[in-house]
Amino acid sequence: MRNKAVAIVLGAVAASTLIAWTFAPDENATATLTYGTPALESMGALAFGPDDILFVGDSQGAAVYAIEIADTGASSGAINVRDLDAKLAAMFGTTADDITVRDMAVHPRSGNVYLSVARGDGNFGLVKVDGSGQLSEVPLTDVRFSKGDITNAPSPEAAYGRRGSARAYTITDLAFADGQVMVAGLSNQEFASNFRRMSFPFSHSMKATSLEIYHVSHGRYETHAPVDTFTPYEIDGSVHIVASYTCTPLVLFNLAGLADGEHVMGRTVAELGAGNRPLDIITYSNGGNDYVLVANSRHPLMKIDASSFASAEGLEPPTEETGIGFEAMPQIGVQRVGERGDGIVMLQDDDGLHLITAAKDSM
Amino acid sequence: MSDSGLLHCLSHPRRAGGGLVLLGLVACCGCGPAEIDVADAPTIRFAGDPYGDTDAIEVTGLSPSSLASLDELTTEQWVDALAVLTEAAADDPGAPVVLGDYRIDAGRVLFTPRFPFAPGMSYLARFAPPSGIEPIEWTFSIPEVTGASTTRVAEIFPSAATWPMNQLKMYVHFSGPMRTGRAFDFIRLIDEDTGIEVEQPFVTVQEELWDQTHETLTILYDPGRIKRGLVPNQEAGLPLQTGRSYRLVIDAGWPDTDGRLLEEPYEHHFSIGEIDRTSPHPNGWILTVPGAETRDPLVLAFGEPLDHGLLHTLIGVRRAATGTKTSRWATTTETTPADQLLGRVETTDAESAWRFSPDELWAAGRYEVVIPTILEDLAGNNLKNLFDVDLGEVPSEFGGVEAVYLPFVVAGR
Repeated sequence: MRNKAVAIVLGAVAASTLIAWTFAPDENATATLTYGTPALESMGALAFGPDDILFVGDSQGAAVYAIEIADTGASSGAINVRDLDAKLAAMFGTTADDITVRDMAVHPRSGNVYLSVARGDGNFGLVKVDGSGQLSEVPLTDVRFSKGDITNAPSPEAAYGRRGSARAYTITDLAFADGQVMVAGLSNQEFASNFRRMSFPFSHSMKATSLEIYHVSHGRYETHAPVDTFTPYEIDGSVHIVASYTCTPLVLFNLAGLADGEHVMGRTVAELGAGNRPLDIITYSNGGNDYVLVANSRHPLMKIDASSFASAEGLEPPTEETGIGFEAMPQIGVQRVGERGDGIVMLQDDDGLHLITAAKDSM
Repeated sequence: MSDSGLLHCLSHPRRAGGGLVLLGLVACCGCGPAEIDVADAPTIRFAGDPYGDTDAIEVTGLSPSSLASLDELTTEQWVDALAVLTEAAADDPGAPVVLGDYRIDAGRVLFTPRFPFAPGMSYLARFAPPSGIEPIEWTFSIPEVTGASTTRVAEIFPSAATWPMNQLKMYVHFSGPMRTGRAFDFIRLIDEDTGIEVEQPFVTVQEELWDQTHETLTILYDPGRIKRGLVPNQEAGLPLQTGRSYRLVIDAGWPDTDGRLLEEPYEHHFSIGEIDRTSPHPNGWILTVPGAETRDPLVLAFGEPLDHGLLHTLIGVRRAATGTKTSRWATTTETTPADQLLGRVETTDAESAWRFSPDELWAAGRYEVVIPTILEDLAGNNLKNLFDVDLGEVPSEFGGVEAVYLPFVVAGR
């Protein structure tokens, strides 16, 4: 029994990889984009995809944009920028407390850090931070892009009423995996597990399809809830999602072979506790092992050993016996995390906003 | 000097130390970026006429040759030549400048900020060309937005006096668009008996849950505290307790979309009843059918308050060309979305009744009301499942059913 468990864990570790892009090497995803200026109405969640494509969540415009960010050069060296909010305020012509950084994403090829930044009055922009800590705005005019509409109507039967402006969908997180754009969000009207998938390349006829994800608490109560933040994770060649909920548990579910509108059950793999909201999740590899990092509104930055996900069935709130490594990291006020080469870059809120980098080996 | 516009000096380092190396064409007249006529006496001011708008600033009083020379500057050189800084950045030598666009236009230098200069902010503009004249500075301010907002809180839903203990959401309706991102600075829930504020009863979403016009805000109670078996529920309990009274307070001072502040606070009083763990079901609904050749409302009474937002956007009425249904409700339809009637929806009786007044007169004939099964009550229970599903209980008959259809006949006169 014990040998089998070890074999499963080793097999899972060997098979789990960072998500591989599904485009063939000679087929570039940017071929599906056209030049122009995306008519963004807001800018929230950010996620990089294949071939220099940045996916941008536009809640106000009910869309996800795929924008080519042809980042030149590679930046190495740890990124550390103190008082990022003051610097962004200087660039945006306002005060530091009027600046909100909505999301952060690391360009997989260049290593530059991209920030979605907004002023209190709603003006927004995309800012790049390079390896030397220099900030610059990334103009989104005359770029190659495409637009995917997030359909708002819950179903064809429900396409009635004053839906034009009354219904809205706020995108809380985005990721590209398994050839699709995954979108987590919240409706302003119905309370449902609003997790959607959009095929990429985007097309006019494409509809975002939703999955009804739930998890079980105490073996008895089924919880449908909006996914707050999530990350894709491959186990045994199959794409999974590690998701955290407004209701706090960390849940793992398998995306493979799911039909639209399907009722999908996830397994609880960690319980993060009350009074806290998870803000960001990533997976990363170091020393042959996979880890999950969860940034929280109140709790410390948490590191979880992902290899344990593949073992043990039907986890209820995990206990010590399940052997899940669950460590509190020393960095405080971490809001966003990103993998960047040998390090983890973090957006930190601690008497001002800062970007800090910690070596993976030190975590 | 006059030909300086044609020629570049390449690789001119920004910070000249000893040993400058000038590459490229040496035979440029007045080599070096932007030589300004020493006779120039430029000024910086808001662009346009004396009462020009505050969208841009300009540097005037430069000779054509000075302007031509400035026209050669790279973007990086412009940032040094005409730096616009916020008040805080002006005190910090390493701070970035205000982002913007530099151009020579109609005999002046024009700087248009990337994002509008903000009300209540002060800025410093420094024109410091690399050679020719001494730098000049101009400090300017953008006036605060004055006057109180004419926007007010119009209504809060649910409007019922009693809410279930597992109340899920509220809608705050404003009379005009509001600035987003400030909601949780201005909304408080107070226990009426103790006067104590309830701690963190709501879910905070960074972008908040507004409708498209930013006039209606959805506030969710923390489902982690409402759902059974979850840690927040076990540790902190439900935010609202049966038998207690609360008031929801919207404080004055919330900025509207123009930055003007809401003048009046708003209070909404309610008390808490029992937990609601019953899904809405059509067996309890009563449909009142109007007469033909009228625009009288079709009224559907649910017997309990339902979600205000969903009542307005989910339910429709369709004309049935044929039909044989005699039951009060069905899970299959005899119509298509193309048969939809247009009209106006109202909710009455604390959102326990839905009224539809058609744009056109009712024609005699068969119709259906279409009610998607995701319609929720105040506790988030929809027809298909309870908000908090107990797997040990019998599943709802509406699992997998998209909508419930109520056929009715408008009798001819």
